[in-house]
Amino acid sequence: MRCRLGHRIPLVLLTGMAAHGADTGAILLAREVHDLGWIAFSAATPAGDWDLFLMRPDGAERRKLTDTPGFNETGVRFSPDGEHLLYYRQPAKDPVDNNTYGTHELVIADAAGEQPESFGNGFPWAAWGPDGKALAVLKPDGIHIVEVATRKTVRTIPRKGLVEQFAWSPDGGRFCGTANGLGPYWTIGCLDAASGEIRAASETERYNCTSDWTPDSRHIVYARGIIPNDGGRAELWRATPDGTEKRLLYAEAGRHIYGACASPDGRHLLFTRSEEDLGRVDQKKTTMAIIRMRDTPLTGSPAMTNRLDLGPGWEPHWRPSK
Amino acid sequence: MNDRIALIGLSLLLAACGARDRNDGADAQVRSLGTVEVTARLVEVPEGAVFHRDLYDYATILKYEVVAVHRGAVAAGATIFVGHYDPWKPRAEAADKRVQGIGGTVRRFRAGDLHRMALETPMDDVFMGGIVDKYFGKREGPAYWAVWTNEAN
Repeated sequence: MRCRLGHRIPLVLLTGMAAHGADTGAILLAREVHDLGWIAFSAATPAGDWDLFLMRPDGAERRKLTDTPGFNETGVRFSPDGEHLLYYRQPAKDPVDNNTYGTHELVIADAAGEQPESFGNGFPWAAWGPDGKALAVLKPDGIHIVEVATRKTVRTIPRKGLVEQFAWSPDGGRFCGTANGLGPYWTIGCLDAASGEIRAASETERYNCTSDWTPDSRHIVYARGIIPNDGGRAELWRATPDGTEKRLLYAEAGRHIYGACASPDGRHLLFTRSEEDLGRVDQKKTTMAIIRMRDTPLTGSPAMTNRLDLGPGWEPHWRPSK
Repeated sequence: MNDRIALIGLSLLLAACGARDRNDGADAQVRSLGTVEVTARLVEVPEGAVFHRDLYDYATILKYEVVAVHRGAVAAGATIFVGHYDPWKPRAEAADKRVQGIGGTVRRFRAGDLHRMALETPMDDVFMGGIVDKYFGKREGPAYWAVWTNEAN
């Protein structure tokens, strides 16, 4: 259907706007991002399993990338050239978990989800390298740089406490992820690939998680987590790799914000809003949204006008337009 | 004479009872798993080191004083730091799909308790997950990973 702005808006989005009394702000944002590539994400199906889906950044043209009732698919990431995607697959009976999804069976497919190839369970927390021809894999004995074509490790780097939710910077120079050993809890660590030095990018007194790089490799976006006994909510923050500059991007009362992903041009932010601290992911309590980077810092509310709500989904990733 | 016999009998009974209550914590698992086996006293349980949150599976670092060394290169009397997985659970229920092969008879962690433990080191080679380390910046060297943790006294 078309709205008066002359742009195609998904019905589900307009229904949500009406229900929440949102004005044209979100419609303008939807128009702004519609042509900015594609978003892939995990969402539960009526059968109860989790499949991968693809849609325009405004929620239009949604379709399935996988259709596997026996499996849950998670952690989808487009290759830097947008031609392929990697994801993890686990039996549908195993709950989807924000902290363990990357420990299951790695699959690489083309960007339409076709020609999936299983790499098996030996490639935890795989992250695309800058040229898309190598993966960085986080194993107990270190970071393995694996050549995709041969599946062989060509280099190993000490992981220095990095344990999960792992990403390789677009310029190839650094890695970020959730790390032990930088403070009493888990911290966003940034490891320099050349020197092997790791530094805390986030605060060290919280349970931080789900970090990723901005496209220019100059910043890390991450979930600034809570201290369980103190309550609070996970917020979306940005830091320089050396941790010297940190700032709030988005926070919302009643929601934990995870899994931030910058748009390919760096002007927008895509993330997960969860009613629960994750943990295990509950589809009924987990939705996705987009904001503009220039609008940050933002404090969210259920009916805010400069946030584009995308409905149920988790751990989304953004691919450039091709 | 009868009093003396009664006294000896009572002493033997008490000794037998004492022997029955004494528990060195040894079993097949603790004597064979890991590369280090010690009996050690749990020094303390720092505030916030053990919390129950179903959404998080984590390991916590606890401080021990080694009382006896059964296997491995650890000095008696040494202070060691040991990582326990999901410490709010009884050890017999701590293993899960992510962390397998751990267990023991300890039901909860209390300061002053004596544990016989099969350990692996360094912990980082064994466990990849969140670690709560209340001794961060206050200890040196790698932590041990608790494979099997039995009560002892």
